[in-house]
Amino acid sequence: MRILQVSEFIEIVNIILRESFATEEVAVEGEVSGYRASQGQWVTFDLKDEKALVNIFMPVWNLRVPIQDGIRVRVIGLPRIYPKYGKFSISAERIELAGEGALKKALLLLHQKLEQEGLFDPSRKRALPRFPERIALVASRDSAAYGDFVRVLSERWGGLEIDLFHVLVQGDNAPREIVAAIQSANSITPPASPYLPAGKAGKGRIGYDALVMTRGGGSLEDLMAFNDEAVVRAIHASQIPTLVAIGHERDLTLAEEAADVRGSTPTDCARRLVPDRKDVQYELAAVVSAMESNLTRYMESRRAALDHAVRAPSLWLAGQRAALERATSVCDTAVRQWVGGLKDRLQAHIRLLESLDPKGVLARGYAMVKDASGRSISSVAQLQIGQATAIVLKDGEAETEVKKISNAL
Amino acid sequence: MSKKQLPKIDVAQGFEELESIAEWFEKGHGHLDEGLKKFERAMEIAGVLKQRLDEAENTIREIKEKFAV
Repeated sequence: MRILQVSEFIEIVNIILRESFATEEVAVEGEVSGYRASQGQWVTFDLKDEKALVNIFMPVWNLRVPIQDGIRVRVIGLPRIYPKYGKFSISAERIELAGEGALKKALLLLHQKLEQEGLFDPSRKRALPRFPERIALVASRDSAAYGDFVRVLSERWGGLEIDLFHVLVQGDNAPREIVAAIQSANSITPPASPYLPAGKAGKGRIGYDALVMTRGGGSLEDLMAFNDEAVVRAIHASQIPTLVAIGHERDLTLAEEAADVRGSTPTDCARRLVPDRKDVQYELAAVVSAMESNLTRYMESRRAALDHAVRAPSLWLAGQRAALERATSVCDTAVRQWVGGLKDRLQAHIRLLESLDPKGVLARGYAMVKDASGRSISSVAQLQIGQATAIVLKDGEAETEVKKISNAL
Repeated sequence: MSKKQLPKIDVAQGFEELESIAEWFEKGHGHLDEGLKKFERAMEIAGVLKQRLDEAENTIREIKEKFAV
């Protein structure tokens, strides 16, 4: 009998186990239970079926699928006993989702988790700049999506600086490359700008105006890199505003949901990133023409006001002239009427006096008789025969004597 | 009458005086000498005002020409 120390025994058992279960040949399928991620580094859970249970242990970076309690997975890895505690577990190298709809279910669970954390919160979505200049493009150099995106972009707008961060867009290594590309784009500072003082350029600033991530259509499995938790978190953490378009219109990946702006296709992505130069030209022309007509209208109104102001003194003067004319003429009329009135009054007095003057009567051929003392005699009763009287005519007097007196019949 | 001999008459006051003289006549007062004096005053004021307005017109034209409006 061979006597073994405990550590020797476990070492031998582990060697036998490792040799008996070559990876890639055996996978263990079961339901996840007691899933736990500790210190952000290690993942442990129990894999079980109706009759048995085995502990699974793995570094968190080996976990590529979203797993939660209750979902079925296939674990590929090495069975071993952890010497210190004598605990048997499978040290997992890879975990795949198993069963009908498992992927969708897992995605749903991951979606719920990330949504609760606020990664898809619409209120934190940023707008893309209207005229971006420097673009970080995370895509595959060889993809049709890349070609489509760049072609439509140059049709619509020119003068863009596009830096391609070439990545694999499917397969196991895709998520790691994509995360690295996003982080690297965010670490690049802008080129020295003539508009910023030296030393300020680049400090605390990001170099790109927009981060675009795109790939063409594919099956759900093909697009899984864009449902990877690390990728979604990297998009969410990007300081550069993100625009993500994966697959066709109907495909919606978690990366797109976390992005600031989602494009339905690579072509749509280009449309959302830059305006069409025709639209901008049209808009510019409209703005210019609006400014021009506003300015013209303003000038016209000012000119009219000016003309009015310049004419005002002359108008005022003309008004004064007319007023003077009126006042003078009123005065003139008043004076003439006044003089006329005075004359009329005088004439009336004259006429009255004239009618009373006895000379006027004499002039008409009548005569007046006076006695010796010069008093006027108007009745025969004042006369006596032989009395001396005088007859007054219009041009002189005659001495007379009364010869006969007879009363009027 | 040269400019320097023009009595100082404010244009607005001149108009007021002209109106009051016209009113005086319209009331038909009988003082001939007073009336004649008033009429002479009215004509004097009217002459001064006319000259003032002529001068103002010239000044306005000169100012416009000076600033090429």
